[in-house]
Amino acid sequence: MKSFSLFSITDEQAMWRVQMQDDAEAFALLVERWEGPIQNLCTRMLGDAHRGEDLAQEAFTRVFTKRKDYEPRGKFSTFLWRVALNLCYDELRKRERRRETSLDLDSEDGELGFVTEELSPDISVAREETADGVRAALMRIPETYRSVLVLRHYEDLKFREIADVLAIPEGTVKSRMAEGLSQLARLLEREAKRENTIKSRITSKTAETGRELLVL
Amino acid sequence: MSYLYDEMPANNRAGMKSHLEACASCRAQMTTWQGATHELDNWRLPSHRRGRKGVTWVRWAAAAAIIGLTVLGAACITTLSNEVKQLRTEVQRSSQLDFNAALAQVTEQASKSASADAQALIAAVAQRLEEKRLTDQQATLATLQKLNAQHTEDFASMRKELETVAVFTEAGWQRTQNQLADIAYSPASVSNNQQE
Repeated sequence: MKSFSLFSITDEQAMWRVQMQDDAEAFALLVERWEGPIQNLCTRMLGDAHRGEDLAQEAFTRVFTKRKDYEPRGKFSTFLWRVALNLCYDELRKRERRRETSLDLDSEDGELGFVTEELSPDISVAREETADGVRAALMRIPETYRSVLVLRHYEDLKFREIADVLAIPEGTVKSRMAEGLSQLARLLEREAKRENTIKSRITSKTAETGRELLVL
Repeated sequence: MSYLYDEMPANNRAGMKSHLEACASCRAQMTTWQGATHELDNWRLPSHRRGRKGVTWVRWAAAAAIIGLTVLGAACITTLSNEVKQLRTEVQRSSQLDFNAALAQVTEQASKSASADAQALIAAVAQRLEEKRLTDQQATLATLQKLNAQHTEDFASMRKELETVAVFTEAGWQRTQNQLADIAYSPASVSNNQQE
């Protein structure tokens, strides 16, 4: 009876049970409902699915350990998005520090760089490359813009909800969204140009070798 | 941004649309942003279920049933032929059933959530009682333990005192014995001296 009635309770009711009675069943329900979205948020903030999964798990652990801090007046999802996003910010800051210390060793920003040397004719590979290009471009956008882009575009939160999560005015959310999209468009355009020059260089080179072969 | 993500009220939206048609620079900006959002769509992740789909579904079903009924009502006024009337009653009956089912589902869901609330409250009260009982038990246990410790202590001190008394008594007895022995021997030695 109890487990069945759990399916009809709201997130807030479930969280109240977790908060007041340490109800494991209610917590499991919340995890089941929100694990996917939180994993996707972390993956998109970090550009890394494995680390995204780890952070999502950490976010739920934190929600449980900080369950007494949750204020029942607000929406549970707002609280959860905020916890997860803060973990992402911490992780990105850690990465930044690591990169600064190892900057002398590799000048190339390896993991974020584009790999366009080899162009495969396979369509699925090409699609994967486009996805990778978008991912890489998003990673280059400042995280304050990225979080707004991810929450609005991928997680489909309204601007008002994002303002609640980030505790900033709705107008600021919109201006960050505009700036984020503009930066993204610029980055992708630049990459497309770079890719085209590489492509033309490769075709001219193959033409050259072909001509040489003909001469021989 | 509200326009781009369809969050604008309809009347503002119409105004915005006509402005975009007239203003080339705004149109170019909007196109750039739209292009960027299409690019974002290229990065797909495994889809996920979110929130309370069940409840939304029931709501949609109820809404669909209501809309269906309204449409049917309007259609009935315009058509008069008997055949259509018959058809109408039939369809109406079936949609009524649908509507009833949806309504029943909604009611059931509502009552379920209400019972969940009640259950949560009962559980909370039960937990409080349990906690109270536990603290009472602990208090009693602590008092008992304290009493027990007091008893042990009393017993130990009493035993110590008794032992002291016993030692003293034994010493006194020894002393008396010695004195008796002295007394027993000394007259004899005195008489011996006198004889010599």
